[in-house]
Amino acid sequence: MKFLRVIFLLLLIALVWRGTQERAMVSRLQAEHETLIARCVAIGPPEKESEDAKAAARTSGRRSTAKPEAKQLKDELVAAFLRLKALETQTDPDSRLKVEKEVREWIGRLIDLSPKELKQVVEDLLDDGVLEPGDRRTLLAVVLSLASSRQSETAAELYLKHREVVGDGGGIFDAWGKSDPASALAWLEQNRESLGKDYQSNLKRIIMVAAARDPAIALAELSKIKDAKDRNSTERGLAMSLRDDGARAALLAELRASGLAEVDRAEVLRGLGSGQVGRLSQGPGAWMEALSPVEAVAVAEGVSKSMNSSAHPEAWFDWMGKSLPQELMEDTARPLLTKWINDDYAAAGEWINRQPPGDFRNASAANYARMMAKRFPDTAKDWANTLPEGPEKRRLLEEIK
Amino acid sequence: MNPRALSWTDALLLLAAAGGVAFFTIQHRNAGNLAAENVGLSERIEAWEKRGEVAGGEGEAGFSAKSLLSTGPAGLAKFAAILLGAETGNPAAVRESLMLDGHWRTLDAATLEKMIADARASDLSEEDRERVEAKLLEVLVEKDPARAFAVIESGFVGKTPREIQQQFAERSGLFEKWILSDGPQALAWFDKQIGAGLFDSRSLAGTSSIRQDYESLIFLKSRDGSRIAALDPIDRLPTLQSWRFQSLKPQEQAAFAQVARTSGLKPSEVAEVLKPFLNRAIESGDLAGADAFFKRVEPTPEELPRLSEGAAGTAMFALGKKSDQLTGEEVPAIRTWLADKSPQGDSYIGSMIGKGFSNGWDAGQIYATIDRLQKDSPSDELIGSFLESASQGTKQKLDHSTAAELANRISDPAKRAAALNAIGGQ
Repeated sequence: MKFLRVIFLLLLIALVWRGTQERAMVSRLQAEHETLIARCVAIGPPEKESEDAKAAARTSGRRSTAKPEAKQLKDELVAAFLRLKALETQTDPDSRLKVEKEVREWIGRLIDLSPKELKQVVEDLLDDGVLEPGDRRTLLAVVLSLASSRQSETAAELYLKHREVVGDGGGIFDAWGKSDPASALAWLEQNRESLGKDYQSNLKRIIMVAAARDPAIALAELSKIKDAKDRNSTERGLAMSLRDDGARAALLAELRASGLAEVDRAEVLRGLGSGQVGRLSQGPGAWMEALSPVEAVAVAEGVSKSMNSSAHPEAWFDWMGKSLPQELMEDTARPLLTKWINDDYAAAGEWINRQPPGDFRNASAANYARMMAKRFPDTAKDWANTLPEGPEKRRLLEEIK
Repeated sequence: MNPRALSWTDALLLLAAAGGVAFFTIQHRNAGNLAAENVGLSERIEAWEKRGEVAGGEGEAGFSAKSLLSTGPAGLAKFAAILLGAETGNPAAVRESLMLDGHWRTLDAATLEKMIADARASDLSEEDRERVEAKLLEVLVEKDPARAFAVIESGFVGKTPREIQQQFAERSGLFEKWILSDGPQALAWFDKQIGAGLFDSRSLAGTSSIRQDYESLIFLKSRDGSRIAALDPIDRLPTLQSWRFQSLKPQEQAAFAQVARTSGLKPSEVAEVLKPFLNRAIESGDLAGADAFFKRVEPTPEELPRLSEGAAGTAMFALGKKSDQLTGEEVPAIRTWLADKSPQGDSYIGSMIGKGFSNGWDAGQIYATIDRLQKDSPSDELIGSFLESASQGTKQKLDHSTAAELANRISDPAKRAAALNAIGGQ
């Protein structure tokens, strides 16, 4: 009987010992699993790449995907950052290309960080004794910003915890607001008190980037910005952030259904107009075809006052001519014309010269003459002389003389 | 004979052994499951990373450079979608875009050039075409910059001069890479374009902001200021004020100041060029930063008063943000610091305090500060310029009796009359 007891005892010890080993392995595998899951989330759903994956699996051998420990990750990251900094004084093109390649790889690695790794890297960076405070701040902001494209909530929590050191958390909320504005806004509300004055600035950032994914939520959140000046700039900003006609049309539809006040509505429309102007834009977008006269005026104001240079100002004047009430055309179009004359007076002059006689041509010619007067007084006089006889012409000629 | 029942000790031992078996089995099964899952996930990631090479080699669909080439317009549209996704922060798209970056760099210049031509001929939207072209040019310029810029020029057909300049503005980053890889060749190309009039000013101001931008890049990379001196006088100041110079390190600022001084600028313009560095040196309002800056760039006697006044103004406004310190020792210290460097120091200090008043700083503190400064060392200029500047404010108005009392402290009758006139007209 005693022999049996000894056997049982030994068996028990062996099982517990093996079980403990297995448990340690489970912990290690769990950490690896978390990292791999995070990475797979980043590369998209399996359906999207299943054919490619099968193709690759047919021909490729197994390759280790083991990632370095988080501690090692921080050391490597700091080393890479210092190499990047040294690049400022480096003129050898091959070295630059090498470091730029390394930076691209790092962007990928930081995007792939699991929540645990992200926390560890941030803690390690905070403890690092090599980096200067300014560099640490920069690097922390970069890490949190890149990692937040996937680990948004963890990045936001870390930002909240270490705000004093990290400084601006804008990159985190930009990324989160783009990918999941509802969650970003919910987190912001939960932490409103702790965020203090940073609540408003981050709210504005999220609203501005949210419009592309969820225009309804972006418009609904505007009421939380109490300061009218801040709200108006956010309204313009959210509309200007849109990249294509489809997104602009979606925002317009939501705007019409929203309960926003007229003044706020007009700011959004101005932002839509401003965002439509740019080097690559050929002119008015399809979403602008069915605007009401009130909407068209606000959009035209945005177009006309846009800071971007239009490659085709003439296309905008044509659209304004067709869409705006005649009595508003001159005032609304003036900023755009003024900018065009400043940027390229020759092309602007040729265009005005081609316009049919009428109030708009006269107003444009008078504007042109005034602007040319200082540098080209003779040309200005010639332009003033194209105006019909009357007090405006006399006054202009007097000014130029 | 009845079978003997197990003793309590044996029963407990048996139970413990059974528990041990269960513990081991669960851990073993968990480890097995996780290991299997990890293998699957690793294979998926590995396949994703490898699919480009495989797809390219076998002509199957994928994201590699080769496969995108073989799939024609659909491949280009896919590439543009990846770039758009990356721009909007989609992590998967960023990863794909990064992976493609590596693939593009394995292609030769002729292949990249052909891809750009294909993109231009495709029916992609203007924005998508630009995304694809810009990305491919970024790689092509690393391999053969002259060829990359020839490709850019080939896209100018049918474009207006203004559109060409806008295109050059977009491609300044590529020019920067070219200067670094082959400066003389880049300069020869640039001068050829200038000769052809492509960088001529089209603005009413008479300056070409695009040319200024390229010239500032050349200086930044070559450190040769001779080109800036050779510019049209109207272009010199804006070129030296380019945003590209704002991040010059302290040790580079002396050489930059020397270039500014030999570029045909007036001393007041040189001071304007140097002011941003000075402001950065005293961001927190500490004038020791200004002293260190002066030690570095050694301002000429003409530059020193303007720069010192600028530094004093920055320090005053830093104090204004924490206005409780306006009544302390800081303002007198700033005044003393400036007195050594600018003969108009008192006038400047007075006008800055007046601006602070105009901006809505605490009026009581401001009057107390003026009173304190005046008691330290009476100055007609200090009070006169304070009253003149403060009387123009919109956020708050001077208290007439206090202002009149201050004006009456001015000893020079003409200056006193001017001050009384200024406060009377507000």
